[in-house]
Amino acid sequence: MRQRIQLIPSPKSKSKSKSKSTKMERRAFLKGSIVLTGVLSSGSLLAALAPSRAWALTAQHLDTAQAEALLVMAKRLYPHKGLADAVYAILVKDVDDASSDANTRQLVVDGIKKLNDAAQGDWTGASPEEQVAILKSMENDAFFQLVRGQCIHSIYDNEMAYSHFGYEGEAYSKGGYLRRGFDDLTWLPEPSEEASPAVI
Amino acid sequence: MNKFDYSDDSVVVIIGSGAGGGTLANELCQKGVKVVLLEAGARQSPTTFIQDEWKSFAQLAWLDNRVTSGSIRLSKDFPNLPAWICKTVGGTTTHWAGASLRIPDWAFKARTTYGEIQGANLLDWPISMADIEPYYARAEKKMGVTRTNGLPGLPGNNNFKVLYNGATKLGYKEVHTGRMAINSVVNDGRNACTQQGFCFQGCKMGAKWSTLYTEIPNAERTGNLDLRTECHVHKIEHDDQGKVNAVVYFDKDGNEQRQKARIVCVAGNSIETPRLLLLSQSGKFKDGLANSSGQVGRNYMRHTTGSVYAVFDEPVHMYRGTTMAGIVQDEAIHDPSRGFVGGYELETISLGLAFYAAFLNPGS
Repeated sequence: MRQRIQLIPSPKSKSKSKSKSTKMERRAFLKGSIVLTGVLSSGSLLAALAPSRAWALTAQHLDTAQAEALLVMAKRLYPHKGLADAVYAILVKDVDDASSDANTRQLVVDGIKKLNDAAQGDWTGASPEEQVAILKSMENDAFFQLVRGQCIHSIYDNEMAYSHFGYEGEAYSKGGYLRRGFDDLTWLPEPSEEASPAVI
Repeated sequence: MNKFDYSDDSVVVIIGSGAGGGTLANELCQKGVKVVLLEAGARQSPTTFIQDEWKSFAQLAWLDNRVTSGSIRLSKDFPNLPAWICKTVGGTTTHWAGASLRIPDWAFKARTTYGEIQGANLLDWPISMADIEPYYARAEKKMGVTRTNGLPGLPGNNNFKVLYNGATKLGYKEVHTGRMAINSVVNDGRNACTQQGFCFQGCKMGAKWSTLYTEIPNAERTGNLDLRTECHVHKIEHDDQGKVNAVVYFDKDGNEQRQKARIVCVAGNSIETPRLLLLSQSGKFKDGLANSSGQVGRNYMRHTTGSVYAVFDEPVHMYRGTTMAGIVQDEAIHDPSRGFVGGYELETISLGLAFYAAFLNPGS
C-alpha cells in the first residue's frame, strides 16, 4: 500500500500558519516537518478506513508554502468532486521524495515561484479559474510535465483513491468474484446461454 | 550449476521461454532432445504474481529501453516503451488476455485479397489454412481453449452484459465471451477461473494458459531441459560455413557466457527476435542473420487500438472478472465497401484505476 499520509491519533485543528522563527523553521525543515494537515470528512468512505480522521503530511525537502502550492496545483490539474485532500497530499509527498534529487528540487522550487509570480505573488489565494489559466500557460514547462506525470501515479494508485472511485483492488485473497458479484448487475437483461454460459 | 556444459554442442538452444520457445522446448524434450532454454527474465509463479497494476508491470514487463518514432501516437506518449511484452519465464503468455482467435482464411492471401495498397508490403503466404489447421487444433487442445473440444465458454461478467446488450441492440449477432485459453472448468490439471480480474498481471489461479506452468514444468520432468533464467542473449554466432554454432549471453551475475549449439531457435517476440538477428551481423552476414530477404525487422504488426469508455447511471464494476470479458466478431470480415481492407474485432476489457488514469488518454 502506497499510502504515505500519517494518520495521527488526536484531532488537530487545520493549520496553515508558517513557523514563527527562521531558526525553528530551519531545524524543523532539516528533520522533516509537517507541511500539510487535514481532516477526513466524517461521512466519507475514507474515514471508515482510517484509524483516525485527522492526517498530517511530513516533508523532507519542501516547506509548507511549497506543499500547499503543489496541493492546489494537483487539485486543479485533476479535479474530482469530493476527493479528499489526503489523496492529493500523496502527490505532494511523492514530489517531495523526488526532490531528494537537487536538480528536481530546483525545478520544483522554480516552478512554484513561477506559479506565484503569475498570480501576483499569491498562487494559493487566486481564484480557481485564474489558477487553471496559469497552469494552461505552463503546459509545456518541464515542471508542469513532472507534476502532471506524478499525479497520474500518486492520485490514482492508492487505496484511498480506490475507495473513493469504487475500485476494489486485489481479489485473490477474497477468492475472486465468481461468488462475489462478478455478474451481479440486474439493470440489463441477461445475455443468452450461448453468449454467456452458466457458471459450472 | 548448469545441466549441460557450455561446450556441449549437441544441445538445441532456444532463446525465449514464451508461447513459441516454451512450447518448442517441451516438444523437443519429450522426444529426448537436450534443450538449453535461455530466458532473459526471472522465474515467477502464481504465488509471486502481484494483483497491483504498476507493481506487476515492474515485475513482468520488458523494461529495457526500446524506441519508436514516426507518426504513430506511441512515439509521443511512450517513446521508450512502445510495446507491452514480457521479460519473465513464460514470456508474454503470463500477461496476455487469453484470446485465442484464428486468422481468417482470406488473410493468408493478403496480396490477392486486398490488392495493391500504397505504402503496404503485402504478400500471399506460401501456405493456406488447410496446412495450418491441424496445428491450430493441436494448440487449442493444449491450451484448453473454450468453446472448443467440448470445453464450455466462460460465463459473462457485468462488463460482458453491457457489451452484449449494446451490441445486440445494434444488430450484431456474433457476441459472446470468446474463445479463450482460460479454464472454464478444471482442465489439464489446472484450476478453473474464479473471475478475479488481473489477467494481465499473471493468473494467480493458473487458469489462464501460460507456458510457465504447463510446457516448461512438463519439459523439466523429462530431465532434458536446462532452463537458465536471467540470461540475456546478445549475439548468435556461426562457423565458417555460415551454420550457427553458439550463442553468447550475459548470465544473472552479468558475466558473459558462450553456449555451443547444434541448432538455435529464436523466440523472443516480435521486437527482440529481429533485434537479436540484426545484432548478430558478421563479416559473412552483413545484414544480420536469416536476412537475405532484407525483411528482418520490417513489416512489424501489432494491435492497433481505438478505445472507448462509457459511464452508466448504474454501477457496472467492470473489473470484477476476466479482463477480456467478451467479443463482437461481426466486423472481422473483409468488406472493402467499408473503405478499408481486412476487419477488426470488438473486445471489451477492463483496466484498474491506476492504469485507467495512465492509459485512457495518455498525456492528458
